[in-house]
Amino acid sequence: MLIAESATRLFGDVRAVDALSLSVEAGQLFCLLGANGAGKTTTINLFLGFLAPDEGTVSVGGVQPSVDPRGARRQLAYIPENVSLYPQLTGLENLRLFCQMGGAKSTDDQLGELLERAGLTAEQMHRPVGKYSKGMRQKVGLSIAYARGASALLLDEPLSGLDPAAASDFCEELGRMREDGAAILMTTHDLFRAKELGGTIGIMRQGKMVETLEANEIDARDLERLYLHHMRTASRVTV
Amino acid sequence: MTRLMLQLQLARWWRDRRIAGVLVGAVLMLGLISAWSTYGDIAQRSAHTEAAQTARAQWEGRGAAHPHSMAHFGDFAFRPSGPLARLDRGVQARLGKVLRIEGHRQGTPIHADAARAGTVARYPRPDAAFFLHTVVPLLLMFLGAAGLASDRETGRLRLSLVQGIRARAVATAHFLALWGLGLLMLAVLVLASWVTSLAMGGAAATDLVRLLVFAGTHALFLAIVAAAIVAASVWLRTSKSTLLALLAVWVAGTAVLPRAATSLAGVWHPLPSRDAFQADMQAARAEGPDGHNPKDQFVEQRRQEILDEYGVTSVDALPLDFGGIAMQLDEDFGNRIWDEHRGRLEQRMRRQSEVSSWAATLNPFQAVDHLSMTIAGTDLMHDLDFQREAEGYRRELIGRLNHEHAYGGAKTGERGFKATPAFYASIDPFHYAAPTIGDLFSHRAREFASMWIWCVLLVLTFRIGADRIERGVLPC
Repeated sequence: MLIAESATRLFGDVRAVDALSLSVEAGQLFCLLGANGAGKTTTINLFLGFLAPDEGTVSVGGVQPSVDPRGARRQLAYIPENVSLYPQLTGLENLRLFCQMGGAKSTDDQLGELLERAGLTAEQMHRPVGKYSKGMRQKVGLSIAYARGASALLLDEPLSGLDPAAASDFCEELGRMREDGAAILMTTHDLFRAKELGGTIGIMRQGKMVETLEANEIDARDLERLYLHHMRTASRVTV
Repeated sequence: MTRLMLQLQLARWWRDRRIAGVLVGAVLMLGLISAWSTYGDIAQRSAHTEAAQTARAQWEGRGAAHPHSMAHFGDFAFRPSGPLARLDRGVQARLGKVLRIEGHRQGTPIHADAARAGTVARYPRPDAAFFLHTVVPLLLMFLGAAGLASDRETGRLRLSLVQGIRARAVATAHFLALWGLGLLMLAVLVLASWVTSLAMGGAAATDLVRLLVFAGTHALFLAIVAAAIVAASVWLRTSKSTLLALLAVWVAGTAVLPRAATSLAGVWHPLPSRDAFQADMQAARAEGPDGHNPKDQFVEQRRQEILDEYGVTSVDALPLDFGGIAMQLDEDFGNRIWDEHRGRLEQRMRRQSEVSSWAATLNPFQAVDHLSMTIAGTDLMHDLDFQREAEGYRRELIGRLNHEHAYGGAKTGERGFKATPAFYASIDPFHYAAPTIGDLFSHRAREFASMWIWCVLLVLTFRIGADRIERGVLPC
C-alpha cells in the first residue's frame, strides 16, 4: 500500500532521505523511530506529495504522489504532530468541514459517533476548538481519519505532548484501525509505544533506514539499547 | 469547494469577536463618513447656489450704470462641486471654487500656488475615497495575512489538502472572501451617500451613472487588493512575512510612489510660481495697448482707423463712444497674451499629469485615485475645463459691456451715459455644467487598462502559486 523504493530527497547538499526503501501493507503498522532531523517527517511528506523524491519512487496504492498528488491523497488519512483545526468552530463543525472537503456528506449523528469513538464527550464536541487541549484536538484529528475511511494512515509524531491516558487511548484506536485493514506509517520518538503497538519498527539515521525489525522479535530493553546504539553512532559520525 | 471554503472564511471572521467588532465598526464608520461628507457637500452646494443668487442680485441691483463701471464691478463664476465630490473631493478642495470675472483681468490661476495645480499630491484627505483607497486595503491586508498564510503556518492548509480539496479552491475562496468584504464596505459607503443625497434632495439621475461607474472601478481596485493579499500569502512562507510585504506595498503604493511621481513630474515639467506667472503676463501686456490711456500708440492707431472708417477727423464727430472700442482693443490683446501664457501653463500641467498617469500604471493605488477623481468630477481636467468655460463667459460678458459702451448711444467722452437695467438683466449669468463622464474617461484609459492587467496578473499569480503548493513545489 505504502511503498518507497530507494527514495532520496535532497535539501541543498543535505540528503534528508537517503535511498529509503520501505513497504507497509494493508493491516500493517510501521513505526519509524529516529532522532530529530533523521528524515522521518520528510518521509511522511514524500508520501503526502508535499515533497517529491529527487531519486527513487514513492507510491500510495500504486499512485506516485509526485505525479498525481490528489490521487495519492484520496487514499490517505493524515494526523500531524499538532492537529491544527479552526478555533472558531466546534469540534463537530470542524469534523463536518473536513469531511465535506473530502466530498463526504455525513449526518451530525454519524459525526458525533465518530467523535465519541475517538473519545470526545457530547459536551466537548460542541465547544469551540480554541478551548480544546492538545489531546482533544488529536482526537478530532483521529475522527477525521476515521471519517475518511482511508486505506492508508500517515501519522507524524501524533503522540507527542499527549498525556499517558490520552496516548494509550490513541494507540488503542490505532490498533482498531489496523485491524480494520489500514496500512499505518507512524513516526515517533516513543520507543515504548512503538513496541507496544507491534508491527514493524524502522530506525532512521541521517536519512537512511539503518535497522528494520519486528516488534515482537525484540523486548523493550533491547529496542532501547539498539536505538541508543544507532543514535550514538550517528553522534560520532556527525562529530 | 470554493463555496465551502468561502463560507468557512466568513464564519471565522464572524465568530472571532475581535475581528467581527473591527469589521462592524469599520462598516459603521464608513457609512457615517460617507453620509457626513455627502451632507457637507450638499450643504455647500446650497451655499454656492445662494451666493450665486446674491451675486446675480447685486449685478442686477446696480440699476442703470456705465458699462465700464460694470466691467470693473465684475461678477463671480461659481463652480459647482464635482458630481460625486461628496465621495471624492479630489483636487477641487485645494483649487477653490469661485472665480472673479472682471474686465481686463483674466481668471488668473485661482490656486494658492500655480506650481501645485498640476500635481496629484493630495494625501491625505478625509473623504470617502481616501478611506476606500487606503484604510480599507490596510484592513483587508491585516485580515488576509491572518488567513491563508496563517493556515499554511499552522498546518490547517496541509490537513485540508490531504482531505482532497484543491489548493486553488482554497486560495480562490480566500480571494472571494476578502473581495466580498471590501465590496460590502464599498456598498455601505455608496449606499450611505446615495440615501443621504436622496433624503436631502440632492440626487440626480446622471449622478447614478457616475455612482455605478465609481462603484465598478472601486470593485476592480478591491479585487486587485484581495488578489495581491492572496498572492503574497501563497508565495511567502509565513503570515509575518506576508504582512510585512503587504505593508511595504501599501506604504509604497499610497505614499512613496505617488509623491515620487509628483516630484519627478515637477522636476521634468516645472510650473512657474503664481507671482512669476503674473509678472510674465504683466510684462507681456505692457507691450500692447492700454485702453485706459488715450495717448497709447495702439489706441491712437485704432482711433485713426475708426476716424478713417467714419470719414471724420475728430472723435467728437463719431456716432459712438471710442472709449468702448479702446477697451475692447485692450481686452483682445489681453486675451491673446492670456491664451499664450495660460496655454503654456496648461500644457505643462498636462505633461505633469501624463507623468503621473504613466506612474499610475505601475501603482494601482495611484491608478484608482486618478480614476476616482475623474469619475467624481474633481480632477485637474475638470478644473481646467471650468476655467476655460469661466474665461469664455468673461470674454463674452466684457465684450457685450464694451460693445454697449461703444455703440449703446453714448458719444466719446460722455461720462454720464448709463446703460439700462434691462440691458444688464439680459446678460445671462454664468452657468457651468461639468463634462460628461464619457468626455473625460478617455483621459484615464491607461489607468483603467492597467488596473485590469494588474487584476488578471495577480489572480494568475495566486492560482499558479496555489498549484505549486498542491504539487509540493512551494512548501505547505
